[in-house]
Amino acid sequence: MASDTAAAAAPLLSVEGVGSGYGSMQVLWDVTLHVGRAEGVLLLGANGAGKTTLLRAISGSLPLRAGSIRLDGAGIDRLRADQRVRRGAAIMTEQGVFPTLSVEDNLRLGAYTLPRASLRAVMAEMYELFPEVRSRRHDAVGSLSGGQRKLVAVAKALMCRPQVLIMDEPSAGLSPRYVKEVVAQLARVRERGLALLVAEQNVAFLELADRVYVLEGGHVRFEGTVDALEGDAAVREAFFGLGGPPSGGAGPASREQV
Amino acid sequence: MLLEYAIVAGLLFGVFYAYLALGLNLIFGVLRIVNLAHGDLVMLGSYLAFELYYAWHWSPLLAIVVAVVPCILVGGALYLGVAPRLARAQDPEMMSLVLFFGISQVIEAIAAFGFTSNERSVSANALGSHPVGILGQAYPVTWVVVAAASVPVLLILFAYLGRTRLGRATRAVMASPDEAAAVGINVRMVSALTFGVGVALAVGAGSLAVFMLGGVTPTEGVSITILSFAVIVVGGLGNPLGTVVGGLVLGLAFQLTLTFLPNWASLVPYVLLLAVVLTRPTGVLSRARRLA
Repeated sequence: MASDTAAAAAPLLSVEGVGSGYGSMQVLWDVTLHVGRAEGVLLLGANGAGKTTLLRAISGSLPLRAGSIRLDGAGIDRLRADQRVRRGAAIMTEQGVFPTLSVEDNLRLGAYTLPRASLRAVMAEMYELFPEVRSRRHDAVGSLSGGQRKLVAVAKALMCRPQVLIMDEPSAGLSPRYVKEVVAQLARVRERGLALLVAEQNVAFLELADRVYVLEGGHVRFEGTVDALEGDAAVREAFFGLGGPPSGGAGPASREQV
Repeated sequence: MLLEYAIVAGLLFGVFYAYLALGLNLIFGVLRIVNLAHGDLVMLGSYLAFELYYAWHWSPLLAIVVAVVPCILVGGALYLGVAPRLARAQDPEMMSLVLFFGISQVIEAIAAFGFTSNERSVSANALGSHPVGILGQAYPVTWVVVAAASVPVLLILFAYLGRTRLGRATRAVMASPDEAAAVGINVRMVSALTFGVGVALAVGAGSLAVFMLGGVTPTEGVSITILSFAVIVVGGLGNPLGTVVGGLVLGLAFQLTLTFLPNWASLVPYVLLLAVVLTRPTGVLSRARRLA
């Protein structure tokens, strides 16, 4: 019983003292980050802060130089990218889709690690979540608008029923309408127990966050709740160009001003 | 009459050209490397069929089937042997060109050593002596048998790519290796298998080429690689379906030129290659892609 409680309390995704980079350039230094079960974690930082590098290290497309990564208690840093997906850590890259393939082929491939029997049910679920995607299901994804492509990318990433979904700048190139829709659908999926780790610069995604990490120059500069972030004047000024006292409260209105 | 003859002959040759080039395009689509040893693998397939036919009295079509499993295993192992080295290279594309040019030269030298540099000729009646009538015209039985043997291979490959789990994974790696890994596909395994399938296709096409071309020599690899390259550029680099279109376009253009301007026929692949590169560099099947 005690061990069950301990397992439930342990983070789902645990990044400990990670260092990584490209060639002779070290980008991440001693980064530690945790994502709990069904928790929403937002990774903020300016361009070049190391957000994408961290996500690539977690997803397995970039090797670690130091530290370790655990998922559900088991070390995954020696696994290939595809093996990490099979363990339940799905990543949605900035592109997120196969542009030359149809919407339906994209979703089918998203469920590559699932048993064939469950494909139909999961696809129906995604079409229910994203009706706009359903209406274009036979079209090549490259022929869709940027917003529609992003909806396909989110649906594709959810197809494998991950425990944690890791997303790199899901708002990139999106109009406010589609940002709102993506956030709304992710909020719905989170209610079913999905954990999220989202690298973003768009504050609309604070809606999904329980906690926030801020990266600067490859180091974790801030870690805390959304309320704590709103109260940290230095972080507010450094990353959002807003000085002065916090606007108070943690509601949506105040978050939009962060 | 002449026009109809040229069109049917062009289609028969076109299907064969598609088979001849498919392995090259499949490997390019998944691995983004031009296998400069492609023509030499075709040449090895020709020797295999020649030996089976004259020494063992086996049907040359059996060579296509016999070669599949060993070629996939050898090709896959070759890929797994060289891929880590290519991945570490600063310029993997250039490195792969040099590497496969070297492999091409080694295969050619071994073939010259093993089979001598003399041409092994095949009788024009090897696959039958009675011409086949199509739309009131008579065509050599070799052309019809080779085209008829090529069609099922193309259909099986497209069924594999479109209907099977591994085939879909192959198309995913063609579209984007990073995205493929992100959905849980073992990109290295799919790449090794595809390289093996590409080798098997080249060797299988070679078993028909020896009859279509009337013989085989150790030095024919370069001209076959160039012909195959023209087919895949016309149809679209990395697009297996485009290979069929490219093969048919080249077959028709070649036979029409041979019929009406015979002195210019040998220039057809190069002229088409240049015309496509200058006017439609992504191939005749390319589609416009929305950017926003």
